Amino acid sequence: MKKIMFTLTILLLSGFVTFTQTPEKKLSKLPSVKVKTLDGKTINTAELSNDGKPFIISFWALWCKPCVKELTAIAEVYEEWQKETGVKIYAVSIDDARSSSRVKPTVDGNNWTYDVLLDANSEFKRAMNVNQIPHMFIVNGKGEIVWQHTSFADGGELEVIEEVRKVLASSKN
Amino acid sequence: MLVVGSGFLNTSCDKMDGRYLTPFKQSEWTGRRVLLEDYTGQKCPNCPAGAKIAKDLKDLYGEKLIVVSIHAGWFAKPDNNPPFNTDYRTVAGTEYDDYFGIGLVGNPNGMVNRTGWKGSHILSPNAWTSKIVSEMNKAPQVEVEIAKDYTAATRNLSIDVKTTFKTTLQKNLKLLVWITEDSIVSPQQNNDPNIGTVGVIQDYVHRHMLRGTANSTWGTLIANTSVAVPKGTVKNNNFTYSLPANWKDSNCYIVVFVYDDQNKEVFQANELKIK
Amino acid sequence: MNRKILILIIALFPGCLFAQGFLEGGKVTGNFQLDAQYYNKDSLIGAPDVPEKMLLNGFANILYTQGNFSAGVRYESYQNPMLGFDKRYKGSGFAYRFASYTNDQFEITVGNFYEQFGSGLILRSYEERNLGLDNAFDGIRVRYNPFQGVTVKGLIGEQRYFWEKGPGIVRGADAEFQLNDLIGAMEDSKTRISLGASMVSKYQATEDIIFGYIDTVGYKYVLPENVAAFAGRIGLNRGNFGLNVEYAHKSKDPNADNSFVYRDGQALLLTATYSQKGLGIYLSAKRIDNMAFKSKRTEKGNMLNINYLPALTKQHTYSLAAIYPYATQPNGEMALQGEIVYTIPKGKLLGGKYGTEVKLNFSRANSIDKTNLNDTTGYESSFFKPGDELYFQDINVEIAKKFSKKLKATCTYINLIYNQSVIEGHPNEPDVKANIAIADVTWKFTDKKALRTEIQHLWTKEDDKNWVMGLLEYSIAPAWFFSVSDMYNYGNDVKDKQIHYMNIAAGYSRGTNRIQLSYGKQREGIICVGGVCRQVPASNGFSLSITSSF
Repeated sequence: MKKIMFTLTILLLSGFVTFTQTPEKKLSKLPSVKVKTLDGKTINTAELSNDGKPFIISFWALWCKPCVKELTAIAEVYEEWQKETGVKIYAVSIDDARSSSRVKPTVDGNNWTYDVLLDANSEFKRAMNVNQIPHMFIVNGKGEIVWQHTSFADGGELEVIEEVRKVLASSKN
Repeated sequence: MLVVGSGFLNTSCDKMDGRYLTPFKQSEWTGRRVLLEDYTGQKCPNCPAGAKIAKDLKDLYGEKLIVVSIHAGWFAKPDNNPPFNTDYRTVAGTEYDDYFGIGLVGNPNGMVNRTGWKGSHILSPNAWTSKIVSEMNKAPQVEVEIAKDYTAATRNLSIDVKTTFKTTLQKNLKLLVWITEDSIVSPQQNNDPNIGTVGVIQDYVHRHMLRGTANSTWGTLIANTSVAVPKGTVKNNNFTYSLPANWKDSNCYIVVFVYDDQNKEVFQANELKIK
Repeated sequence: MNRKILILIIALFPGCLFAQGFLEGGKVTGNFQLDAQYYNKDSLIGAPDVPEKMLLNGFANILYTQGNFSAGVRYESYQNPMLGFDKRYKGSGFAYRFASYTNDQFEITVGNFYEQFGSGLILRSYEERNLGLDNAFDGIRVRYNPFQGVTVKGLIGEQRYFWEKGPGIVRGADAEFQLNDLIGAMEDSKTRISLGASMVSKYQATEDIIFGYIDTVGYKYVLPENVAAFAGRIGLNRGNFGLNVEYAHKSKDPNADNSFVYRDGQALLLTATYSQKGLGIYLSAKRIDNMAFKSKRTEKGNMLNINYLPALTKQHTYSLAAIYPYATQPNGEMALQGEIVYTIPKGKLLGGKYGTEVKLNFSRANSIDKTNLNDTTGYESSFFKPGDELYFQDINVEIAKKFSKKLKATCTYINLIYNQSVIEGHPNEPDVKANIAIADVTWKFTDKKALRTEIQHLWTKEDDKNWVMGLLEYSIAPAWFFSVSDMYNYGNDVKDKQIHYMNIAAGYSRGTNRIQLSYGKQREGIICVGGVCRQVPASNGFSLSITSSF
């Protein structure tokens, strides 16, 4: 019985997916989840924006070494990126009560200038279908997710800025 | 039991009745004896607390409850050096532990009449009482009686088991015969100060330890689903066993139970001292 | 129940979508992960014989969103569960399904959901798939935002217990007030204040649990069927300063974790932070007294927790530093943590060309003051007095410095005191006093190719004694990595146990897909939670991990 139900669900959903494939491929928009800023304000993720310019959402946590490595590597070139493309990074921390209070002092102590958001119970992470962190998304000026990548290796930030440039270029067309 | 009791006696008796504790009343006995298996190990520091609960329940129910401790799994693995260098595991006990997956969940844990297979068959010591109560309230579908003939000189034991069907049954029924030994004094790891020394209790009394089976790990088939066995049928089985020299025969018991091979549930159990 | 909701969702899909015109606007997304391991028997490290040879854990999440409506399922399969995961997960099926409707003010979810009130001291249901932790609720949750600045939540549900549900019913409500949005006068204030209050109640039918004997009479416990808990919290933020306080109180909840004492539970969590550009200071303190809160009173271990009591210690990710991790003692502990994060500016003496990051961290956990009362109310405890027993202490320093475009390094020193007796339940074992030194150096050959080396050393006179560890990792951004590592217990007293735990691994990632393959030996560990100890066996063999999202 379970097997039949499972197959049925997959069939129906793949049916829907093919139906929703209209000629221009539909891109996902950001889900609507409540997250907090570092000074306690509540924000709706569906309203994240960057004045019509593309922006990056990066899921990380204090205990995730490659995540911290990625944000540190980008911090060194962030100013240049912003001057060139106007891109903004929302660094979403999935630290739970064990470490979420240490996020603000660590972010400031590291001199990071990102917009840091706290997703304490991983609701935003779940809604974005993130499994392993680090996981990075590029969202275009219209609020659509155009690119994503998981894991990080030294030099990986070069691919990120390349993709941002591509998004900017295609939006100008 | 008196050691634990007296600690509580001299203070706040008003907290004893009604508010937090109430005398445990047993309902009228249906004649069903319940089997409690306590999966444990000599190196398991949380296990003496579980064994104490088993003992309290045994004292409460007497012959209506049959308690067997099965040493199996990681905490029962002996060391090369003392104090835990005796191996109390048995081939059958290890097979049960692997099959029911108890040791891998943790120790102490156990089963009551092996009900709930599979999914909710593993019960922690605090969950034993309510399961024993509900099992004991069910009328037995089978009665099992033991007779024995033991010659101390040869250490040969002859076991006669008489199974009476109290209702018509059409199931795969198996009869399992265990030999257990009580009051084995041997070191035990402990972390409950209310029970004894924290650390190693050198002269810990191990109760009702499973020592072996007289008819293989999973027992003898006495009925199968193709034939309905009518109410009133009596089946007789005989088994022999030779007690190893290092067991104290005056502390040994025969434990017999009938179970449904489909879902492993124990229908009726009984116990008889060898000597 | 599972099947019915599924049929409902499948039946409704075409219904509401066709009713709205057609399927435009609807989107299907999801993710999946597969972990498989092949086990070789290895008696040297104590790796058991695994009859199935290969064990596999996998799951897939499918999420459908259309405007304000979303629904999803998760299918999990453990054939059979990997070592270290509870065997009772064995099997496959839909473990999670939900349907949800959200608009500006209101959100309702039916089916399975996760939720957290405040910092979780009184209620937190969450998932940690890699640890096999999942206490999802199955029921209904409502969130309401009547006007700007007020959020109210309510929920009722039963919790997941492997493939079944726990016997208790949990009901909870939470309200949070952002005063700056509520009080006109405060709108432009530099001080942000938020207040929160929660109330949780769990119901479980009574049962027979034997207490023992008093004067040859057998007694059983009189068990409360309803256990209530409430919590209040305040959050203050002003400029560079932040302060958060949360207090929780639980009514009498005799359970297997607290040995059936009739005593209220209390928890207090305080954190204060100061931060400015280049400097962050953090201080926190907590007190936990009898706060194990589960929806099944006889359950011991990791399952069916209603609340979440975080350990106030730094999570170490380097392998030798993670050998002795701390776990909160729900029955009672008092803990402190302090951290300073400072970046020495570039140009300054020690700053170098790029600046140097320094992190100083200190944490300590003690028992609570206890005076045993020798009756069912358990003990008395003075609120502000810590007990005598040290559970855990961790002093660590981390310095990260980039020397040039090609070279950077992080050096860490950790001093640990780890109370084996309490944390692992090994009575009378001495505290492990360990010193750990770690050097982590990365050399970038080109823009995208880098080689990372780790050397770690652990000094201790207790337990397995000294360890040394080395790692080499070569990565080609953004897709590839290769690594080789060895953890060697050279200091072990027993010659046979001076084992090399070698490991090689390689991984490839592209977009959202990631695949990782590794081969080698892993040392064993023990997980002890609330009186039940479970062994996580050593293993030797291949392991594969695939993850993707779409």
